[in-house]
Amino acid sequence: MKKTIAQKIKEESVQYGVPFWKLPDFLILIMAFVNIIGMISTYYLALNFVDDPRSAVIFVAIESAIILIIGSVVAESSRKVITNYRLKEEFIDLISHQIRSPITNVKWNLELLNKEKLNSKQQVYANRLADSAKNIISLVNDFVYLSRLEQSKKELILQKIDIKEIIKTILQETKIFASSKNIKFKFIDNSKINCVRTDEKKIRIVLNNVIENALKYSYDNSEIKIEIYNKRNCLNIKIIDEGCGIEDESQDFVFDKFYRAQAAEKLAVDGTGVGLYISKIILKEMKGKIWFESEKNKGSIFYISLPVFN
Amino acid sequence: MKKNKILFVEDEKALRDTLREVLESNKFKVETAADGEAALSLLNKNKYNLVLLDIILPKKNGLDVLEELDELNKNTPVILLTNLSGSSNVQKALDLGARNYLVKSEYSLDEIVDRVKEVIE
Repeated sequence: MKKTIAQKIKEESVQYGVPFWKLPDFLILIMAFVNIIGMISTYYLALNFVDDPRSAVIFVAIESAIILIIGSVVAESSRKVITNYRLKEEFIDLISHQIRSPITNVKWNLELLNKEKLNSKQQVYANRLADSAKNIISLVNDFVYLSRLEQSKKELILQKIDIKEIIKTILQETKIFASSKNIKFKFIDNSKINCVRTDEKKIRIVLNNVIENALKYSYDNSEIKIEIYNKRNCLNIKIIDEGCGIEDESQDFVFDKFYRAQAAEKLAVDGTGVGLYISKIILKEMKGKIWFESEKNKGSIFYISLPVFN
Repeated sequence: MKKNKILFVEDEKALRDTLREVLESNKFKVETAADGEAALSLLNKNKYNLVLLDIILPKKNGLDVLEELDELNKNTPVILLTNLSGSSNVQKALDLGARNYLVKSEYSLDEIVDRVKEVIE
């Protein structure tokens, strides 16, 4: 059975995930409708005000035909763009899934291995593997997130989140890395309200990025303080490290994509240079903020501010 | 009656064995299925207290399994445990009534056990 235009538009709207009024087919229909109205009104006006109304109608008809041809070309190419976009998204989803699955297995089994009695050498090897697994997972996450951002896909899944719990989990997860540099964490809770309505997965990405940076750039045997407190209608998180700090000439660029501060090169710190860029974009989506204060060789203070919703 | 019966649907054998072992050591009774059809046939016969469900599965994917749950397990909480992170999947799973959506690589085994306990208890 042949589908009506309305059915086709409805199906395409679901398939491409765009509202019907943005679909090329619908726009062409509107364009044709406007043209017909234009022709009729031109004919009516020409009949009353021009000597030979037929010439005006022929002119408008030619013009309309050209517009329709152009319109159909636009529609065809938009359809191709949308299809390519979907394919790219599905491809990225699939590739990231295929990489994440084996690495999850490595991560989970290392977790079990770490619960066994290992001698100090075995523990060092297990820690190295755990660090590498964690790096691969962050790399895949950065890659997926970056590709989504570049397609301007805003997607927040809002839930009531206890920030304190998330920070505690991240500190637990990074404990091995911290102890390899003999870095101590100090968590200070000065908040009255520590629950926010936000996207759990994304706020984890942000906090992970900032806390991991603090760890990577901290000097050995130092301390990282993490304080949470309320200010106006926000929950602020302050991450203070006693590391190498950010040199003045890099400070304007630390939130740029793929930017790596000079210290990163000098200290051979792992990273892709997208963590803070992604964090800033996520916080912008959440109507939050991220900023920092830093002094070379003394350390950095990163601030994250999230709106508290009642 | 103790609420501890879990169906864990996962096609990757290594992940299935690892999490099953950890859940069992936490006193949960775990049954497993390696594809969507096997999962549905178990879900049509047995009542569970929780379903841990992967999305990419052979024969029938996890979202279809979720959609086809019949009366017996209609109200059983389901946690999607997958390595797909696309928002369309997350939203679809939540719309279909999934209690939670966890990206496996982001969670440690201890955290997953905590989430399971939270939902079951």
